[in-house]
Amino acid sequence: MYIRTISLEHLRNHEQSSLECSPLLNIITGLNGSGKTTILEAISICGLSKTFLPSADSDLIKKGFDSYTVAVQAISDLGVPYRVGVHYKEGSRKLIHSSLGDRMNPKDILGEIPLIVLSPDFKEITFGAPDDRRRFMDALLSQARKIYVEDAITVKKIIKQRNALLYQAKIQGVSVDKGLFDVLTDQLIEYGARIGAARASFIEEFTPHFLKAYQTMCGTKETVSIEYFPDTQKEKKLISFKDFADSYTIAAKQLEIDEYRRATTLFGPQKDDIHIMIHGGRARETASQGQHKSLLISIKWAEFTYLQEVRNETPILLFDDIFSELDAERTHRVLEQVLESGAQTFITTTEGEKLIESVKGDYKLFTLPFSY
Amino acid sequence: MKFVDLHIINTSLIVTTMIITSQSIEVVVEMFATLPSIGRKTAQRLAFHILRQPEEFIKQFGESMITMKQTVQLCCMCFNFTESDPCSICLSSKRDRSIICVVEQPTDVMVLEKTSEFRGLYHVLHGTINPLEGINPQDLKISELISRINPDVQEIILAINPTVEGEVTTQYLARLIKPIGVTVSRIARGIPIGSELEYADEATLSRALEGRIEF
Repeated sequence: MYIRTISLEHLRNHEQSSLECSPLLNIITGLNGSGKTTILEAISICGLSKTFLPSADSDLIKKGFDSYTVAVQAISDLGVPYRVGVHYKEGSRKLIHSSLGDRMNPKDILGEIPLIVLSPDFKEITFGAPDDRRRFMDALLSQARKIYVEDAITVKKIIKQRNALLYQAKIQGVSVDKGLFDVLTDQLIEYGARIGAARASFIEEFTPHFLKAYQTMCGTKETVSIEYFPDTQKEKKLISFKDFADSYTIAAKQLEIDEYRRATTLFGPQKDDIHIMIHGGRARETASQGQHKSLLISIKWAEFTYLQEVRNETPILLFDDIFSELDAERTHRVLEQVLESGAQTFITTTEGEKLIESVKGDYKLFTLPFSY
Repeated sequence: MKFVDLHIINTSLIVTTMIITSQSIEVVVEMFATLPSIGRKTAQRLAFHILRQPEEFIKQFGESMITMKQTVQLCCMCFNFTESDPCSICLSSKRDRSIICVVEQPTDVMVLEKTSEFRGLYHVLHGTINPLEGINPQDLKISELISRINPDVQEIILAINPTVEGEVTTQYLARLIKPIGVTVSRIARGIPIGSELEYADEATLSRALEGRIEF
């Protein structure tokens, strides 16, 4: 898929901007604070219904206005046009219109424009907390399988209800309504196991992509691997829905007393992690700075090939401030792969000149700020 | 008759984008805007529409609401809204007293009645279990449902919305009722009639597959 035009109004510091994009490489350059990343955010809002940065929607609105609007026109690999527009007014729900229908739910447009984002924040995937790795996995799975999004929303709600029940009992000093608690526990086991099994099978499918990407990006024979690591079962590998359901059932029994005491849910897919291994050690603890960078671009490249395979559509790549995380050699390798793949790519950088030097082939350069 | 108590209007809520030249119009707009699914713009349109109507109509309009509030009560058996207690459904001799259909809201009774398919009795819970909003089983008409289950009752149908909270309520009720020894069933979840598979969302489709029926 590629994006033909992007328009944004009152998004961050943009008054009204529109871009006609190259189907291949788009380089967005300009000074700090000129709104380069905002253009990538606009694409992200149209594809994932939210920005890839940890900002609330209300923070995205330009000062002095009460709403923002972004719209994108894209063409699929088969030549079918797709358009989507998102309007957000402070205090109300996002209004999303797309070729699929009007007034759509954010989850319904997820994955329609497959996106791979590489932003400096994402280095947390290899050495941050488990939460960062779950977010990576959830983001990719949500684009790949719609049913996963539904299940993930359900699990989140069940956990909230379960925690509320536990908390209520604790502050009122009464015992938990056992009947209701058991129902919520069983629901968490059921939907949690769906998530667990979906993630475990995702990691199985993702592994060959990751190994290949590491080889391509680094050209070395270092042994790397990636494994799903459920919090409830550390010895045995869990794969099927039943494996997870059984493991969560045991954990639920063992942790019940603790859950009453701490008034919070202590098992479920929200506790799981993935281990990225290099030379048999966990990357988080053993990898060097350079290896972290290599792992990150390999994961991103694997995301690209994985999503392309499952969605049967070429994803669009968004590289935010690529030089800040990668050195010249790695940037060069990434660019080489990107150009070879023919995928549409958006790159923001303050060092436009430096980037252009290493680009062979067609590109379109946008220099911010645009004059209105 | 005085319909509006000025004390309850919070003037700080009034948006200043539109200048309305009358305090009493402003009050009516605010009142309409408190209704579900009515925004300020619709509220303004409704207020101006009302203003253009003859006084007689407005009187009837207002009085109809007061009358509704004063005469409608909950049926002592099924907890549906009714003017006569017990309600006409619970009193009807044509109804099958061995089946009770459990629903969330009185509006659900209305839509089920429209089908003319169901000839049993109803029971309205008035909500779903939602600890996050402080709604626990004892806040719903659940104990009242249990006390209605006498030897005549053979089946309880759970027709609760397939939301997360509805699902929790369904499971909770099923576990509560089953030990009493009556059949507990739930309504099917799946593809709406007249629609196409192509347009069904993935969650509904996978549920429909799970709930498939053998010929």
